[in-house]
Amino acid sequence: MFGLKLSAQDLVFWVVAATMVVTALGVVLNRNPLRSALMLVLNFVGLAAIYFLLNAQVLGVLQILVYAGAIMVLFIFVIMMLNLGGERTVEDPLVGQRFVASVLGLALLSGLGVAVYWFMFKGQSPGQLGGARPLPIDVDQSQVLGISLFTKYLYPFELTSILLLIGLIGAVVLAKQHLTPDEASASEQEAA
Amino acid sequence: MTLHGQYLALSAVLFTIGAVGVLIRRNPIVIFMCLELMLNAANLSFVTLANYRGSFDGQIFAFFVIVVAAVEVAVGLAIIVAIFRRRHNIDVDEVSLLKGDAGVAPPSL
Repeated sequence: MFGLKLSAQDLVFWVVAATMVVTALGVVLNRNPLRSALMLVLNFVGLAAIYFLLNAQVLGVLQILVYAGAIMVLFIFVIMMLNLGGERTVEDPLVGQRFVASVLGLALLSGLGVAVYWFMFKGQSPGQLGGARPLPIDVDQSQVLGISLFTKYLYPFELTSILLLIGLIGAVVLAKQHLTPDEASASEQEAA
Repeated sequence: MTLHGQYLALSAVLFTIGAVGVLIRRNPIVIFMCLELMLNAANLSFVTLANYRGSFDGQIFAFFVIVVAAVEVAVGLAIIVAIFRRRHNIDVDEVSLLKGDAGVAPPSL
C-alpha cells in the first residue's frame, strides 16, 4: 500500500483516514464537549468522503444530511442549552478505570486487527463471505436502494418507522416538565 | 492484499477510539458522541463489505443503523435534559444509581 504507485484514490483515502483518526481522538480527548462536537462534525464529513470513495454516493449524501446536519445540531443545541463547561477534576471514584480502559481498548484493537489481517492477507473471514465481486456501476443507486427497501427489506423498513414513532413520543414525554398543580398555576400567572 | 483491507482497518481503529472514549469519559453527552463514532465505524464496515461483495445489502443495513442512531440520540439527549433539570449535574458518576441516593431530596413531581 506504500508502493511507488499511489493512485489518486489511495491518496485521498490516506488523507481522509488520517483526518478521521485525528478528529476521533479529538472527540475523546477534548475537555470541552463543544469542541468534541465540532471534531465529530469533521469526522462525519470525512466518513462521507470515504463513502464516496466506496461508491456509496447516496449514503454519503445521507451521512452529511442526517449526521452532520440533524444529529450534530441536536448535540450542539443540548450542549449550549445545558452550558456545562469542562468536566470536574475531582478524584476518580472508579480507581484505575483509565488504565483498565486502555488495556481493554488495546485488546479490542488487537482482536479487530487480527480479523482485518485475516481478511487482508489470507482472503478469509469468519463466516462465509465469499469472493470479491465488482459493484454494478451503471445503475441508479437511489433507485436500486429504494426498490430494495420496499421489497426485500419491507418489514425492517416498517419496523423502523415504528421505532421512529416510539423515539419521538419518548423524547417528548421525557423532556416534558412535570409540574405540580401549584407550580403550574404559578407559571401561568408568570406568563400572564 | 485487497483494496478493502485498509477501509476495514480504519473502521477498526475508529471503533476502538470510540469504545475507549465511552469507558474513560464522564460526560454523558461526550459518551453519546463516542457511541456515534462506534456506530459510524460499524457502518463503514458494512459499506466496505457491500462494495467488496458487489451488493447493495450492506448499504441498506447502514441506512437502518443511521435511523437507529438518530432515534437513540433523540431519546438519550431527552434523558440527559431531564436529569439535568432535576440535579443540575449530569456527571455519570453522580447518577450511577437507578434509584437515586439518600443525600438528595426526592424530586417533587
